Amino acid sequence: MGDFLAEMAALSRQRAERARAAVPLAEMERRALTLGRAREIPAGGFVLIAEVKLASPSEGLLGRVAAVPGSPEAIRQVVAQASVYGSAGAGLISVLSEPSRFGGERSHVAVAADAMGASAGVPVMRKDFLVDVYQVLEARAAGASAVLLIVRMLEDATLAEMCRAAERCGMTVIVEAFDEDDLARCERLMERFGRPGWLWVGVNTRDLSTLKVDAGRLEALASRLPAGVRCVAESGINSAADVRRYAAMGYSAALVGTALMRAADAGALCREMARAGADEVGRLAGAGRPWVKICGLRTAEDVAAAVEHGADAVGFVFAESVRRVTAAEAAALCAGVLSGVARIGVFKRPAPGEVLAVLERASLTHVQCDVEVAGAVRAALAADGRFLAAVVPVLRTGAGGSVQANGTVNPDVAAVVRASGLVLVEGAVSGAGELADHGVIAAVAGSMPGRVVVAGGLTAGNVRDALQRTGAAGVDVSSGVELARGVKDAGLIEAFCRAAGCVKRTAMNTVTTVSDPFATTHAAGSASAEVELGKLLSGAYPDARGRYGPFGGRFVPETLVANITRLERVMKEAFADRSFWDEFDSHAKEWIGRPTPVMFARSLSERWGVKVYFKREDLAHTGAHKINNALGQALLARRLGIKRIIAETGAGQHGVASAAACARVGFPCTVYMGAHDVERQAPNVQRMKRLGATVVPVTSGDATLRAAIDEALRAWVADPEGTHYLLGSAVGPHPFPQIVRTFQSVIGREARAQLMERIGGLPDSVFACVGGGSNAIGMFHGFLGDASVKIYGVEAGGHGDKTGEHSATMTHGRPGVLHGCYSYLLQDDAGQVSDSHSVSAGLDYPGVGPEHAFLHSIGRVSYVTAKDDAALEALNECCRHEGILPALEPSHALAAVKKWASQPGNAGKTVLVGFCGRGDKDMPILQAASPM
Amino acid sequence: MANANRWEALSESIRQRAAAGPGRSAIVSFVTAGYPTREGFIATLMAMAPHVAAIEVGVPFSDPMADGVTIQESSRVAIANGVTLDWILSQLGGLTAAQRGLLPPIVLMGYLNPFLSMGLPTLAQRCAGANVAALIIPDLPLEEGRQVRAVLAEGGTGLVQLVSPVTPEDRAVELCQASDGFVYAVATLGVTGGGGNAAGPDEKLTGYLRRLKAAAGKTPVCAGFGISSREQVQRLAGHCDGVIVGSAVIKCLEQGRDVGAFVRDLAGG
Repeated sequence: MGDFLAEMAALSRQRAERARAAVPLAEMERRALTLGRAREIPAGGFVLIAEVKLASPSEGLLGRVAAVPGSPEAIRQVVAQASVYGSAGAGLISVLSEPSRFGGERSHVAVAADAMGASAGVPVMRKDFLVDVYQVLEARAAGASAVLLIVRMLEDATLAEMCRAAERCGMTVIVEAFDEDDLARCERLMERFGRPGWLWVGVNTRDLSTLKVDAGRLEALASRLPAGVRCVAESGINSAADVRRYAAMGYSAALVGTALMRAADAGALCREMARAGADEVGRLAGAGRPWVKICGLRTAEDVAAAVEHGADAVGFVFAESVRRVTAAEAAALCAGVLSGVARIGVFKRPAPGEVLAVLERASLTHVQCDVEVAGAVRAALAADGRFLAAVVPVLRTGAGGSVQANGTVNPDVAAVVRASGLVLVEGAVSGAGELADHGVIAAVAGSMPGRVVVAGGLTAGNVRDALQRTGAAGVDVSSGVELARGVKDAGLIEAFCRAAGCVKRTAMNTVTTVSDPFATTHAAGSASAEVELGKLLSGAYPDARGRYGPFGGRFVPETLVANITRLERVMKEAFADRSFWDEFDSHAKEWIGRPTPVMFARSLSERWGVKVYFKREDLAHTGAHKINNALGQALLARRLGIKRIIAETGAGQHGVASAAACARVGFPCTVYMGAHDVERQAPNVQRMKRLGATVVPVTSGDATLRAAIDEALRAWVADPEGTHYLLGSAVGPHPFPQIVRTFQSVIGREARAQLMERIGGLPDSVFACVGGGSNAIGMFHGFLGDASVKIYGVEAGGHGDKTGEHSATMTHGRPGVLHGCYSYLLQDDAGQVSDSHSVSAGLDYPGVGPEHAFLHSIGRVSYVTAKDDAALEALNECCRHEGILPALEPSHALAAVKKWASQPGNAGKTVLVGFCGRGDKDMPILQAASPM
Repeated sequence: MANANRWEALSESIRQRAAAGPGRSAIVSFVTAGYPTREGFIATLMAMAPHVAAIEVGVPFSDPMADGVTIQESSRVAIANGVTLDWILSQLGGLTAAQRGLLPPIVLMGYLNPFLSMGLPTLAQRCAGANVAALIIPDLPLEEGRQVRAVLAEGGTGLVQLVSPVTPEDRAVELCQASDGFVYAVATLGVTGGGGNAAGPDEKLTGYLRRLKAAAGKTPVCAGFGISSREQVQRLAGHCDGVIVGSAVIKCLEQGRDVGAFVRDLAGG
């Protein structure tokens, strides 16, 4: 037990003793039992456990204001928060009752339960560091219907006793595990109580000795969750996308505290999370298909085929076989596999050292071996600390096999089979394509529901029949997808997967590896796209170096380093401070006019044959999305203690937004603008000046956005301590891309909720234009976790594909460093930045935000182009048929949507467009292009 | 490979010039490669060679964010002249042994992207072949530059660190210790070629340089940014080991004046 847990246990024991002195055990038991049985939580579906937590040791204050546990203010906050959860889809409300570090009190449980009893009737859980059976009774007496018990704090006997007490009161118990050892104890507890519906297993990702969250742990332990039990994902869950991901891994409940306490709209987030979990669990249940393993793979093409066609697992053979691969070969093959796909090393009767040697190199999730040696292999793995590779024992039917004809497992291996998750059953000789005895397998499968995988002699032709006759949960094929012995065929793999009911994976591809040019030793840094995306969604990217994979970083002169470091610190403090967001929200609401509407574009939908929705950022104050970030950074600047703000602008929208935000918040503002843009966006120059800003035309370089950024950076270098550079796009050195994205992500968050509300589902596609990429990254962030949503970034195709004729950075560029970050860049062979062109000043930029480069590299977002004339045409069409004059920038997105709509298979689909600004500023260009 | 590094010779050259006698100063002069013409590149180096401790050869970049208008313009002209990193390294690599013998240590100063674009291992190799002593990369801060430094060092080329007046004390110490050849002390905030401190170094600047010298130990400290006249050089003498002059050299070239005489005067004859 860690120091922290030990301390909590000691305090908890003292509290229990004091309570017992006041109210004896017998009396407490009477109180608990006279309250009647606890409220039952229905089986099935997904349970979102929303937590009321006024403080935590890792996060500090989480409540609105500090309040003494049990005080009227604390009670008020608990009731308010619980009531929000109660009407927002929570299936269980967790209330912290720990007073020393978590701002809780026993009375908080009672008031929450009271409040719930009166309204929605959602059950309440007491969450604490419970060490005594007395405290379970106390929880029930306070009205709780559930308790959480931390396995690591309790001896087996005490744990069992506390569970029995809960069972007597009809309560639900979550037994919380941190690692494999804990899970093993949970498993024994399950066996002891016969896997009842009231006993759940929780996996906590927070290491209670260091208080750090290791989000990877939920994924790592997913394959080891006890079967047939509700499993709860805990800690570090921040978004609906997180919930969906964990639900997909088999967690049918999630406990969320900090994110909900912090959320500006806890009800909305709670509802969204509950819905995401329910959706995913529903989808999985509806799928009802077997688990499919394609075994004996030797080439990257075959692995790719198996993954693409939806196999759940790929197998690499290390035992003597024509299909044998070396550890190094397997390592390379594993690198191309998505994280959701199991990577199984297939052995027969290996020496434990042999298995460890392979695991040293290849990232396998499972080790398959004969049941006779499975125990020894498992012990060796555990001794080596390799808990993450699960052992899959192989049972053989037939004479001398480990299964008798009636399906009984031989007694000498029964224990190891019981301890395993998946169990593979095959004919007498493995890999021989021999059809196993289906009758025997059916008997085994019947005794171990959901765990038996049938192998041997399967083909696309007989797999359905085999599943039906055996009732097995999964199938394993090798020779059945081969043209000749040991030679797999992608077509046969596809046919088998389809016959077994697999769903083709289209949402994501494997990573296009972009090597890190700074890495000197080349560890082929290929990770799966899903893992990489997971890092972004969980907040692991940007990392400590400000990187998204290889992209991002902070390439600035030394004079700015101290500044940027301070900015990062202030950003973190502000983002974690509720009062910061309260102020932001209040300005956003009454000054910007948020939320901006989502509009159904009826006429364009009819004309284009798809359902088009606009997220109307053009209706935000100052006429574009830029205001979200300008306001946010102006508020941040107040915490920086600077005297003035400088900004760059391309189309002038960010300049106007910055001028307005500075006027509102109270800073002098200087805007750098390319001389070329000053000319083509004249109306905005006048607006900036009217709002009190000084506009500095930049004649150096190409006299557009890029030169404006160069010049703003120079001005910042000249006065780093007195100036904040209010960068307007999702580019620049870390933490700018993160700051801009955070403020702009309101676009995607709102749009997703609005669309769910309006059409009851997600769009098929999302489009947004990308110059530096601020509106696009804000929009995309709402949907990155929704694998079904295809996301398109639209770059400016200009008037040709030659250098200088376009701004299609992702399409034509290669990685390099400009303006402080490593990202895609239009550049020549010598590394000079190329001139870009677009009719739209806001897209006329040769670089792009590092997060876009990252999303491009993992294939989550597709980047396409729209040319000047197509954008102008879409603009006119939108004017005439929707009565809206869009800016030239979103007109590129409209042009791309129109093209997409005409492609086969897209008719009737739903598409959401980031309508990021209005076109008034573009009148001079429009008049020049097509005079009226 | 026990490849002797070339930044020690760079340090030594600065120390020697600084100790050359009363009234003599160690000057590090900067010139954008191929400005005003490609043809005059080597001749410009040779003209400055007898009077300076080292020459910084500017690798032009399209977006020089730490440079003022003078160097921006010289970079633009050089790029238009077809100057590339590859060309510069070929020119330097093609010098005869006799020519090399006349030149002081050469340092390349440029922004990261052209270097990155060449590929770091190739860069290290080419710098060795061209006898480049060190690189100065103003948009490569310490944290991002560790690997770059390691790769360059394999070919005997150093990486000079810049320190700014707003750099915190402990970080300045770290930078001084990580700097090869010399420590580049940015004397004023702002871009290159900015208005120098006409009244001479104030207590703040001299204190800053004194602290850097203490932290740098044996490595010389050179001050740069905004230094253009002999008077400024003299006022700084005693507070640092050498003085870097850039934009003023470019202006001299721009006006067609004798650049050799200009740097000789800066150095005190």
